[in-house]
Amino acid sequence: MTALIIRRLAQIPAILLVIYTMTFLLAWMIPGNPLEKGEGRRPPDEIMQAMMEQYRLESSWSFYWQYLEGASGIRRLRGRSEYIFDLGPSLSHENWSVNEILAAGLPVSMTVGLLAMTLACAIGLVAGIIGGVRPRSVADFATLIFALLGISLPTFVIGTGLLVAFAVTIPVFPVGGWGTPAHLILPAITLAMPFAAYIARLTRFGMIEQMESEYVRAALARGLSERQAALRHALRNAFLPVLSYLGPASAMAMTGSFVVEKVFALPGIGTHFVDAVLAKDITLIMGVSLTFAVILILFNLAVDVLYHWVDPRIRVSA
Amino acid sequence: MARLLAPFVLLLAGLGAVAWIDQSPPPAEFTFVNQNEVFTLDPQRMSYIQDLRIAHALYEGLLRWNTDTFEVEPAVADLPACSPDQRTLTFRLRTDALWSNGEPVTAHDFVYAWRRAIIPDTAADYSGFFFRIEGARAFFEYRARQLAAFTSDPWRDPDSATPAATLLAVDRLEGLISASDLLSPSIARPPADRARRLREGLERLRQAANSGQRATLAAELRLQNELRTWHEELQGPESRRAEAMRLWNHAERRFAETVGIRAKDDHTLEVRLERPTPYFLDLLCFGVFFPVHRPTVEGWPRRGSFQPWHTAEPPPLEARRWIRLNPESGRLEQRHGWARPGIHVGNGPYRLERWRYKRDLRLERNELYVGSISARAASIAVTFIADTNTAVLAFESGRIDWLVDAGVEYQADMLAQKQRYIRRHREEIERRRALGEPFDAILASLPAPDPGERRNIHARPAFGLDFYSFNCRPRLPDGRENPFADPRVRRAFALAVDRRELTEQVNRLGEPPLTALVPPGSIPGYEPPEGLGFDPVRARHELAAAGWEDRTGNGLVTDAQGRPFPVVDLLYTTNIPRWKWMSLALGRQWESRLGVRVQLRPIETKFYKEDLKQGRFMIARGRWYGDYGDPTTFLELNRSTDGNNDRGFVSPRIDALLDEADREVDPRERFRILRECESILMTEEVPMVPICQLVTLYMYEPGVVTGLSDHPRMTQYLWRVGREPAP
Repeated sequence: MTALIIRRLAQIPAILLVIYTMTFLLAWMIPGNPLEKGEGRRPPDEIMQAMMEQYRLESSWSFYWQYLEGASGIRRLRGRSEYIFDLGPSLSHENWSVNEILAAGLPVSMTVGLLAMTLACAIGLVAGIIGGVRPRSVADFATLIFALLGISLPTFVIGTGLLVAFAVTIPVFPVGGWGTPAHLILPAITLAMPFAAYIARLTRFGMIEQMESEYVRAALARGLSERQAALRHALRNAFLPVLSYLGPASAMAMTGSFVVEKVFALPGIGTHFVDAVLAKDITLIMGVSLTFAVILILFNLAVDVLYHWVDPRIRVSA
Repeated sequence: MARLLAPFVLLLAGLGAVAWIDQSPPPAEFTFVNQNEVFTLDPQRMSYIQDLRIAHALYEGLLRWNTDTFEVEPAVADLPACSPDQRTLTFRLRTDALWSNGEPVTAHDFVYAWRRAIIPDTAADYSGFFFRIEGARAFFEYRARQLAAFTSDPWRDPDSATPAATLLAVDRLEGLISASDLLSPSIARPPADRARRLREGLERLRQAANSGQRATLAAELRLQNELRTWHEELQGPESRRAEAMRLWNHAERRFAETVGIRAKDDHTLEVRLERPTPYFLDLLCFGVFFPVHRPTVEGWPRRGSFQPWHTAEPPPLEARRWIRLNPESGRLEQRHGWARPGIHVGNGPYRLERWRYKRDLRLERNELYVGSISARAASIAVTFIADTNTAVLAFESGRIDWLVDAGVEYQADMLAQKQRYIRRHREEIERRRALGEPFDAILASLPAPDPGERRNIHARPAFGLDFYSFNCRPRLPDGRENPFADPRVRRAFALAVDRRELTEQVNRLGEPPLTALVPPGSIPGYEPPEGLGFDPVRARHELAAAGWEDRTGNGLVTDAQGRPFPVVDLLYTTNIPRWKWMSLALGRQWESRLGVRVQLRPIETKFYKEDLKQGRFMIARGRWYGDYGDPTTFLELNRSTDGNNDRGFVSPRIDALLDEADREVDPRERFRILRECESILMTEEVPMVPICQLVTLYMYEPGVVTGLSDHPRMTQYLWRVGREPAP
């Protein structure tokens, strides 16, 4: 187990370097000049030249290496940076460093993402168990419809619908923004819907399969109630595919959904990322991508560890 | 089961932790949405309206506008004493003005801030505004040349070395041979005989560069071995650092000696202008002229006393946290870590309490501020909402007092709802307006709007316009002849534009149509001329005069050889739907009235600017906001050398008139010349066809939010805006 964790952690730098290089190539290819302003006055050529030099946008090679120097922590080791991993200044908002932007945006995205995943698990598991224990019943049909809606309705429809219903028509929740726990509820529900639907489907299939397996039938024959058999025995194994889905799903939810953040005016990292791509803010693009990558890797690792712990079969074989 | 619950427990624990870390302040007295996130709090680097709005709260300039009349009023200084030749302005600064850290505001602060704006290192968009000051342009060019010489290296690749770059390098090296102020032993002065040889080498190199022959130059560069060795010695990091420092010292000294900005004493600032400039006082109210606190923006180590910084020796450059000299480029690089609550120091009626990226910015009344004005709301929250629909919903729910721009797709429908409300109460409104009551006050006292009506959206005319640019270059980039190089064709297209259809049926925002550039009533004393209105018959005549007529009766115009008018390449951006609808309607108008074919070309904003610069268009959408209270803020766009002359428009007559206005001292005569210039531009040359003045759609409850100005210059001071106490 410890060996596994150490091995996986040791792989991280290599994976990150590949991601860094590929993101850099893609970001550099976006046409346009990140320092050009959309509307209005065009600065004199000398001024533009000065800015390009200051941000090393003159040559891709020099940008690649000097950014890597900061992001990898080497610049800090040389004592020339305030941050351990210096992700550079944002090009589109020059008063901010990418580190500060991430520090401000990540907590928002992570809070919403965590709450959404909690909701998604709760709703998805309950709906999946009901559907799985009584396939083709009315309850199963209801959860099927719920899952279909959750998967197929785009989040901006769900989000805007919830806003109009619970913030404008019946003003229970604030319209958008951030600050109080009430600001969390609608975005978390919106974000949770597709995940919940998917979890419900996964659980249902798992439960149907497990409920028909021999050990569950044996348990029922021994006189366990259906409820006990389902929750104590079947669910345990039916949960495994859900668990492996939870890793990437949590990472995805926590690194910010652009649509949900836009609709609910959340100052999260997903919006910043899309804005960065549109503005060709290359330092911010690189910084956010690397952070996403680290989170994704760590979550997958966490899921593997949990897997070992939850599923005795894997524990034995490892 | 317990194991199954573990992930959820972890999730919830994480949730609690994050919620605990991330907490919010109590609501502010006044809350508004600033439309876009603030780009910078550095006044010298500002150019966006939303930044300047904050600047007027955090800083105070020498003078300020009265935002209702746009006359200039005293702020940190009184109105200046003017010398008889109108070129020297002497400002007396208030002696009680303080920075938000308690230090006095002095004339030295202004000298420092203005120097920052002028040096090319700061890369200020508006450094050109300072070129009115004696010696400022020459200084800018001196420093730019200094930096270009510092980075020029003709030896890197002798074959591609240009004579200009070589001459810069020659100048630089010549200066170093005899320099007496070298700061590092590694670039010690060469001994006399070596210096002589180096000088000879440089002289030959200069001759080779002046010959203009690239091959000769490359050969000479290769020949100069001693010079190259010495040049390489100078490229070492230690030498570069020392030389960059030397250049900077020279620049600092030169600024003090040659630029007409002087602190005569702590509270007297003397500004000497290149030429008398009637609108210079108006310029001074603009954010880029605001002072900054030098120890803060440079990041000086904390000092013990509250003595003004100029009385002490500045710390060495390396000890200043936010600036550094880049040894590779020689530039003074400035970082903005000081633009943070707790660090930021300003001299305005508010201080920075909180600023979180794309989230919120909070201003609190600056208790140390003394002046002729006072901050109305004790605290102001500036929230950021990216999605305009959400912003309108947030306003409707009462969370926001003022929405600066209701740029939603249904904006025209909201305006129609207001028109409905006004129509229902027309008699009452007209009666009370005749008595001189303010419009907002009347609205506030009327009965509440019925469903389907509203009174909280307000279209205010802005200091800017939408126009369409003609490409005036003789040829298109693909080598074809450009029909729009002919002013008759441009006039024909301008005359065929029905602006009413665009503003009333397409945009539906009640924008005033414009036939000339300067919005009427925005500049006191200036009456813009009448441009070309809608006249389809004359449009056809103009086109025929240029040789384009419908010769076959198929509705399409051709030239004498029967070649059809080139398909008009109409360029617009896809960032907002407005451009699409306007361009579609315009294209239809031109097709039906002139017998030409129009091809719309939608494009991403990032490419659009490049296409404009390269002249890859025939007609392109355009927008311009004025910066200062003088017609030249619009008219200079059409000067042949202007950096924003996207049209490639060259007219010696226009340039001469602009120059003449520049020299004219009498303000009345000056405006007459400018009016003549605008008239020629808009009725004869027509490099662009103005469509309409812009309006900004504010949302606020009339009578609840007060203090907003409705002058077309559209500047809102946050210190005079606030909520009325509930009755």
